[in-house]
Amino acid sequence: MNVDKKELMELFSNKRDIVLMVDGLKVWFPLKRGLSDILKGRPQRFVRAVDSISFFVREKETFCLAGESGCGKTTTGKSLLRLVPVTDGVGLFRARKETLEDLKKNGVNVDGEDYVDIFAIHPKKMKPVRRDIQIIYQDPYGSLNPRYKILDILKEPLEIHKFQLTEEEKLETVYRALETVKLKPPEDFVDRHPHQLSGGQRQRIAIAKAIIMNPKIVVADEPVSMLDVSIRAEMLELLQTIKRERGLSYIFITHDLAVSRYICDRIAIMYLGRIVEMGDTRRIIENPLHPYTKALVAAIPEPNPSNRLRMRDVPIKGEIPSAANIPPGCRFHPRCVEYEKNIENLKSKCPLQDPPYYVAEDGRLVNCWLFEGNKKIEKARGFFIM
Amino acid sequence: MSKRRGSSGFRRFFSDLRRTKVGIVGLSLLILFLGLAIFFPLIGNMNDIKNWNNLQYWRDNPKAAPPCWAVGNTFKSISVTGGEYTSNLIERNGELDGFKYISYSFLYNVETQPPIDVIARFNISYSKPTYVYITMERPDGKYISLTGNPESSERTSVFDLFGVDPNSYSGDIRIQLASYVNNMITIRNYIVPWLQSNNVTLRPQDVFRLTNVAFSILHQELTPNIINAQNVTYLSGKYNVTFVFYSNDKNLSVALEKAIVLGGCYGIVGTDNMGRDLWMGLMYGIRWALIIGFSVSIMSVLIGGIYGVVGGYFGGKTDEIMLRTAQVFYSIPVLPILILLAVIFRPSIWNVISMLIIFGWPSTALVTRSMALQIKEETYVEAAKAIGSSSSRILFRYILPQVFPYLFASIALSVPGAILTEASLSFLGLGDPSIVTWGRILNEAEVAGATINGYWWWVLPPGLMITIVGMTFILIGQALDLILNPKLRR
Repeated sequence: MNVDKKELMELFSNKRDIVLMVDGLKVWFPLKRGLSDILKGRPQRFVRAVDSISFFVREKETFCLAGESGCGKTTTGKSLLRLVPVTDGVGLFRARKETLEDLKKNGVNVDGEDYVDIFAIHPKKMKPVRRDIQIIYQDPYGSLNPRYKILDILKEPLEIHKFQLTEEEKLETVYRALETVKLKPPEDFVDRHPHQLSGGQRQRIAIAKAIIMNPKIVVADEPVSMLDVSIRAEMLELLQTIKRERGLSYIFITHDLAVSRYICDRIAIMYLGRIVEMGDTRRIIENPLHPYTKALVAAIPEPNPSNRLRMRDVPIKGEIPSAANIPPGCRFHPRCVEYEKNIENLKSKCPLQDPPYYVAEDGRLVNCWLFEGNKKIEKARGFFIM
Repeated sequence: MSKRRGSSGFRRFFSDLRRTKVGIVGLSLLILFLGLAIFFPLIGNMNDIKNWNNLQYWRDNPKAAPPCWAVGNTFKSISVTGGEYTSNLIERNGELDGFKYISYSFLYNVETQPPIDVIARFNISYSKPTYVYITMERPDGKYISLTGNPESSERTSVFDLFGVDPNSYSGDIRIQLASYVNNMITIRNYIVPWLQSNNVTLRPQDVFRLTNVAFSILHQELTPNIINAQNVTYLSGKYNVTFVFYSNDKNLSVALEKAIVLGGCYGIVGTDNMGRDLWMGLMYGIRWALIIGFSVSIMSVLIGGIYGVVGGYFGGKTDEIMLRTAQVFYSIPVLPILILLAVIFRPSIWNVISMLIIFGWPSTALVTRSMALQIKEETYVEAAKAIGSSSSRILFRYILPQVFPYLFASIALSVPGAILTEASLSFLGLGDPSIVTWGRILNEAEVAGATINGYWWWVLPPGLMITIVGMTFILIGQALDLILNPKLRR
């Protein structure tokens, strides 16, 4: 155990309101090497989907990951459930007592008295943790087994985790979960197959499936982006209600800043596998600091009908580069408008050095050389001062 | 719960199958064949099958006879020892000149064509020299003695005809009259003199030709040109063949066991050159065809299906090794290997079936592997991992059910291949010699030169049966294809 992790654990032990603390998470997918690559001694290349990110989630909080597609926000969410191979990182998670006991029974080394490093557990031994961290997928049409009835879909988690429930109790739990997601009366739904339900109803089933084991964290991977605009607000309201009632935390993944303003307590804007700006949602959206955030905010559709035909200038250029080929220095600089404007001042910085995180006036973190004058954060724990 | 789902799936599957025309045809043919296979003991005679290799059993049947419906004017076999023709048998016995005699007369009617043989089997017992006298009475009133005539003191001993001890014997004796008559000795001693007495004189070279036609000449109108006539006219009317046994032995006993006047046709699809009833072989062949087809296709499709799904799901090195192994098996040509193995090992049908399974599974495995590769990327499979499902749960609850419809179709479609391969092996003489299959019947036809001799009833029906059974499964497979690939629906 390195010094950083020890320090982190100390910090985590003291911050009782924080349920999950991730530091230096890297998810690198190795690219396949051809025979000629090996012969010529070319180094192994990686798709750096998530490239050293750190964040934390408080209890009963909605933490958002936002960014354009391909920025690694979904990969981050999935890595918390170990559905993708994690290259590096520490993920301290305050789990339930039973979960920790089951982990210990499976021979997992649990470091803290009430928490565990989820990235240090072998993926095959993750099963107990899956009760505590659940996921809602974006696509309600693809995320439910088409061959199962709703009852079987919802009962499956209970059967897998052997909660020692009788058949009647299981049924009762399923009915309660269906009522929670406002599918009433539940008897009308349990015998149906997913294809007999509408998209919104299916997403409700997916939510019910995620919360049926009473998790502490639910990763919601763009849960409303595939839904009809007419039911999005309703679905977000439902998520909020469930959060309040069950006291869980969301890691809410979205590319839609309008949605995030509505639901998120804190937000992290991601670009090419890196968090570029993180802090209070309302402040970030109303006053973005990072050039990329500015571009994202500028791209939010105009609600005012009289302005809808006006051409708007989105302060960004070019296309997102491949995660296999991340630009040197600041990964955003080839697309950065600010860099172009101040090229004389910044050409010794942006293309050469990865920027550190700076603390802006209102306490948010910005990953940009423009804020060089502000307080710099060197170590991971600096993330958690807010 | 899962059981109920399965059964409703089955019901839906069959109701879908019934909705297409090819499905109806295929399904009804399949039900017909299944019925024939299961109820063979009711339709056919199991003894025929048990004695298929016992040539003694079949000796009373005409050899290589075409089916009766195919040849219009031919003599229809009659058995005088049983059935509707018992009145055609006349039994006499008595004493004459110190001899005890027992005689049996067989009556038969010739309309246009004569019989090809008269076969009789007796149980005889005596302890003093015993003689036999055979005569034939024709519709034109002419008599012919086919043995020495006791009235002129020529006695023919039973030894001369049956080769049994003339002084004391107890047991079965059997005679095929046509081959006895067509024998050169009989011709010289009895036929030629008889023909001469009826003013038919044959040239010496024609006498030799009698060995083929003597028995049928007995049924012809007597003309001087009898042997070279272009249009043979048979004498129609009642014929009477009489066998007389006589002996000094007062205890002589002769019991008729079987007597058949053989026609030139037999049954529904005729006989082979051993006299075996091909109809029985054909009907019984359905059983083996279905056993071979189903066992090979179900086993190889299930093994291949699970193998492919496991490889595709686990991926990585496991998949690589499994895929390469399957490809090795896939690339081995089956028939040469099977021929080789059949030569080395005793060609039992179970060996053939297991070999067909061993070389049959990879094609399914390759397809299901790619299906598994696709399905495992579905979100709901990842969602299953997210709730903590084990690999086996995902394999058997999530992936295999998706692959099952394909497996059903490929079971149906791979049945004909298995049947054909077994038939090819048997045709090459490498099949199991102890069972009756269509391939084996074809092999025996080939060996006997059936195609050259024009024994079409021996060659065509087994070939047709293979084709129809194959077609049945192709039709079902096509119907399944229509159901499972809605894009093909018109």
